[in-house]
Amino acid sequence: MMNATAEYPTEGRRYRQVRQNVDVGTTVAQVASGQAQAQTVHGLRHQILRLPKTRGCARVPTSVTTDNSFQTTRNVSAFSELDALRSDDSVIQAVLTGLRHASPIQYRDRLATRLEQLLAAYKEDSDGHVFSADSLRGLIVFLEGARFLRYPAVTLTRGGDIYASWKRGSDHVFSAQFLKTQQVRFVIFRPNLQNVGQSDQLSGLTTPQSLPSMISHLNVSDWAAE
Amino acid sequence: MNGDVLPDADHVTRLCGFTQLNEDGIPEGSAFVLKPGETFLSVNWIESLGLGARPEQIAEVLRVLGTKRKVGATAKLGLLNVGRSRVAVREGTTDRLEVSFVHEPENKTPIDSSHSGIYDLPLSDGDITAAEQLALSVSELFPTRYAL
Repeated sequence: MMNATAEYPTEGRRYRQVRQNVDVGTTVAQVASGQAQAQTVHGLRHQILRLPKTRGCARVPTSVTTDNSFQTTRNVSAFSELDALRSDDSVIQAVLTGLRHASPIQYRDRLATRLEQLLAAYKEDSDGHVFSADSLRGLIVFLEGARFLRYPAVTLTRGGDIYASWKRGSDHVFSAQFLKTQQVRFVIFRPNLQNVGQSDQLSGLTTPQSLPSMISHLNVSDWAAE
Repeated sequence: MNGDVLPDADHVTRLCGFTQLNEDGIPEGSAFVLKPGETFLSVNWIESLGLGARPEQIAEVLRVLGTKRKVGATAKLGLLNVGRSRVAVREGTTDRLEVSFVHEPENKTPIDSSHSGIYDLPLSDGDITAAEQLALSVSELFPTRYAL
């Protein structure tokens, strides 16, 4: 049996997160013996998903042998669902590992740490659900194409989209919501260069690949660069 | 009363979770983006509580929110003036969006008599300009472990 641990910094303290295979094994045994009712399976799934995430992932069998074929079908379905939901988290962790080790973004470690904080907090607030992996990929694609920008304020919408923002005062704002559809909503506020006291407000929908050149033409780097 | 439009001079609070606060503890536009399926953004109309001073109003909002849901220790309540927020959204959006603040008291347990909604915001994947303007309209922040 392997215990995997991970530490995530949170506001002024650090979690020590542990997953034990034995917990999952017990659950599998309960289900395999037919003791668990469908409702209980759902409850256990919920409980398992709220266990802290690890990198050395414990595996849950995707098939269970019993004398009752109906029970077997139901169990396989429950485990498949479990795997699917757990893999969402695994996908995000894999993307974050790639960010830390292979991304050309200068502040990649700080960003990955922030995203891990957000992931932990989002799971806690959302009954174990994770934020959108496609949204995360969009953020990284954009940042890798816009390396002239400084480290952003990164937050999450309640729907699980990543929201990045660069501000200087309240009159220089560039914010972007990375959607699950692999598109990005953005808005820019900036003073109008021709008319003192007037401001420009520009917003739109594009792809993370196209946004860097758009904001470059709008001179966002004049105030949101390193 | 249910359906009342809030006066421009009054104030609402919006609960902003840890994931909507930046690393300086300031709410970003993400705190004002609708969740899929939502038609309005929940807020609390603090003057409707009939309590005189701001500390009592904030404490009561936090007490009520605590009966409805888990309120994280790192979350914050953002205070917005109704009129200034409406003007900011109207003047700061290209289509001069008119949002409305409407009283939506929840009278069934758990009771939330000051519950209100910000209506006519774009959908969850829609334009984020209004959300950004609302975030910039937050005038005060209160920790959720607020003590009188």
